[in-house]
Amino acid sequence: MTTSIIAKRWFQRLCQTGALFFINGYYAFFFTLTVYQGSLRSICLPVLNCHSCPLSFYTCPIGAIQHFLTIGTLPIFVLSIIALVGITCGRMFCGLVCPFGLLQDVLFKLGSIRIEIPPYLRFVKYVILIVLVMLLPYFVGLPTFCKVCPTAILEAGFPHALIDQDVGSKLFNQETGMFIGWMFLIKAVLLAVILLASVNMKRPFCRVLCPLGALLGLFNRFTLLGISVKKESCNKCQLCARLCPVDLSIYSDPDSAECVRCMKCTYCKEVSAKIQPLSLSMRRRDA
Amino acid sequence: MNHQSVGVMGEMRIKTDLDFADDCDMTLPMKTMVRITFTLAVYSLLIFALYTRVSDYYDHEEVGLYGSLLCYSCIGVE
Repeated sequence: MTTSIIAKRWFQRLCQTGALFFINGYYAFFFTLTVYQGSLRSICLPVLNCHSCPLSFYTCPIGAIQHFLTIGTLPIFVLSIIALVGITCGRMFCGLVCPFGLLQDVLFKLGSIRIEIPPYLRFVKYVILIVLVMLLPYFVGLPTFCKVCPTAILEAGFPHALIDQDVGSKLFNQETGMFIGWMFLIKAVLLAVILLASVNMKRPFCRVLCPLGALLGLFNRFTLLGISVKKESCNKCQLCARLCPVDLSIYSDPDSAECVRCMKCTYCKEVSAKIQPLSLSMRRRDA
Repeated sequence: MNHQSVGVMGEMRIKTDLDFADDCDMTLPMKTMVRITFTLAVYSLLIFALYTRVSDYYDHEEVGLYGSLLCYSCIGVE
């Protein structure tokens, strides 16, 4: 393994681990037992990190979109942050920053059996984006995706149920120890299914269910940071597909909406990152 | 800029930059046009969002999300 590959691998690991502690860095919670309420809360990073997480500084963009739609307001600021990141680096935040992506990557390393995800399932996330994140919150007035979000139960549901007695009393009957409602249980089951699937599948949540990934993926074709493949010398050895956390053969479509821009495919010498400036391209007529 | 010698009816002449410019198709590829349009739209949107005073916009407490900063839907409380 060359030095550059080792450096790239460490860079990715540092990015993902650093982001986990950077986004969820409100350790004062352990002393105050109240969530962060400062000005950083009005900023959303384009990663699926629940804003009800006791340690979280930032707002979840999907939660914020639903919030504004439930009150009948267009989420211009949230969408413009997502669009700004999308137009600059596409889904790179999915590949290098998202804590739930990191969790799935780690779990996949534990598995020995590998199961392919059928390609047509990738369209499910677009349905979730349109129906659960946009239409239902606007027409029904409820944050419907949050009600089934597995990230939320992991980062907010379990910690609050364990720490916060007020929340705990709303979730469980103190005398019988039974669930008061089914929503918590349904979310917990959904989370368990996704985590178990992650052991044998590469990033099942990102590829099939994540509405934020669907939104950011729309920008992959127009992003300034792209991926270049030397098609004349690429022998389609599938090294890129084996390294890719979403099973993508990058030579077939470098700008695919499924690409999380983790840059692992650049370990292959035929693949490299490229900046696509907004320059006029001059083509010879006779070329 | 490259210069190229070409033979025209037995005489030599230097092909000028202007000649090369005539040979070039100056129309923008569709992808570049879409990228430029997208980028301009995004920056316009961001400027508009900032113009609409984001902080006021975020102080909305109707559904209790940014007031208490605890989303009960996220936690799983019905």
